[in-house]
Amino acid sequence: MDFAVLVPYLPQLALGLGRTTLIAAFAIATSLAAAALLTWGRMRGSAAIRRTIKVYTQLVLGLPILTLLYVVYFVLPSAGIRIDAFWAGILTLTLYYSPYMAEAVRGAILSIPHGQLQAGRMVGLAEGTILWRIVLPQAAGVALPALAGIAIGLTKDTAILSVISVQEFAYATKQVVSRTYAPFETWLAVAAAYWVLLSILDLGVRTLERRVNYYRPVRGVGR
Amino acid sequence: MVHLKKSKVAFLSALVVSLGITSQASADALDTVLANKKLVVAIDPTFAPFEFTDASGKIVGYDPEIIEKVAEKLGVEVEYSVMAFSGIIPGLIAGAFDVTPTLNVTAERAQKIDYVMPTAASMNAVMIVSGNGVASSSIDDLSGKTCAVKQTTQPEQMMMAMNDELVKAGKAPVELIGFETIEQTVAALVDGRAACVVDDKSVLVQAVAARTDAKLEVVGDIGGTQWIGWGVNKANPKLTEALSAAVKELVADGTVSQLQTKYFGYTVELPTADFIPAQ
Repeated sequence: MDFAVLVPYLPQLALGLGRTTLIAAFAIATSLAAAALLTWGRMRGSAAIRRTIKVYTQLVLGLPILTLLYVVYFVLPSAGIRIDAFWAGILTLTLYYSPYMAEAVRGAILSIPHGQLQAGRMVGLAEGTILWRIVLPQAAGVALPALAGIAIGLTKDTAILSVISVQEFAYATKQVVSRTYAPFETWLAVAAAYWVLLSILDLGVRTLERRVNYYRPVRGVGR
Repeated sequence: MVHLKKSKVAFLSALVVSLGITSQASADALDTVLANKKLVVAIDPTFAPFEFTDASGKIVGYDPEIIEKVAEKLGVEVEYSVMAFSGIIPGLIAGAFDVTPTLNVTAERAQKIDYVMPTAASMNAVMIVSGNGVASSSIDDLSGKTCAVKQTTQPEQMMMAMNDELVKAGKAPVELIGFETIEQTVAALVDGRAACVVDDKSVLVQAVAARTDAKLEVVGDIGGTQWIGWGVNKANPKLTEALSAAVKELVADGTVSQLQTKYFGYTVELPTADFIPAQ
């Protein structure tokens, strides 16, 4: 084991890690936004919208993400839609992960007892106020652990964007391995870096979880 | 949490120990190959005519045909282990298999792996879509353009070296986008994501023939000629020697030149020694 061989390649690896972080952050944000739309459509949309979203969700849940990535990057151009590798990656991650996130959010919203909504209406609160002040603050706490798991999954899956030439961390790693001929050292160091990145994400979500759930004890957090 | 940490430590130490054992393995792989009557060959069969799959999914091509004849001579079976090219040299160094065919012989790689005597010669070339604005395969005409290559291959590394020269001369480098297979580089070219593909000429000629729907054209050669050989882990000199001896016999009895005519349409004389380039 000689980790010194990696030293000349640290800038290249750091650049890759930076891109991975950027892609993950971006894709988590777009997935959450898309999930909010899907949830809204699923709960408040017309029958046609609800059906469309249901079919879409079923479709995506039954597809490996690599297949979806290839379709977006290699098949869409034959239909005249050519998206840059970076955006094809963001789009794929969003298409793939937003239905999972939407399911988590919908489940959380449904977990809020109906009595609370009725009570809100009884005292004359507007529907929007009930949503923002009663349902969402509680649902956020319920949805967060599941959303965190999905966001971590998404971050790990950014590595597959290397196959469509997005020069992220895994791409940079393959390049460095091909130059250093040191697969053990390189992949061990890279695994450690991924682990640190994901642990930071996990820690962030746990902190957020504690704050969102300030009004009730959360089991298993911070003990 | 405490339990988890303990098991993590146990896992990591097990990992370190097992890595230690792999790198300390002292027996030459030739003994294992002969004892198990099995030669494990890592291959990325997406590189016609060197190595590809036929309609039934069987691995065929120039190098597989030679490997199977060599295995026959040694009295062993060939077991293919299919993987992306970018995983092949790392796997070879890690000792995950015995041999891999169709590697460009480079000085850099020769410091880390051993080569069986070459089985073919390779010249890189530039493929374009006719009339897409790339005038020739000269590096100056490629400067500033985007070219698709296979990740971690010799053509990619050659283009990176040429980029260093371009930058030194104050010119724009070629933007390289890397993929896992030759079909993907061709798709990137056809879809207009790249202005050219740089790879082995015989592979590109096959791609032009296979994609008659696109106006593909090999516009010229780039870089010098290189030998193509099979890679073996440096820990197994006896295996390398045995494979080289078998290939030499196949060259001597005319089998290799027959296969060259069959797959490439021309023949090339192969060196048995001193084939590693100086740098």
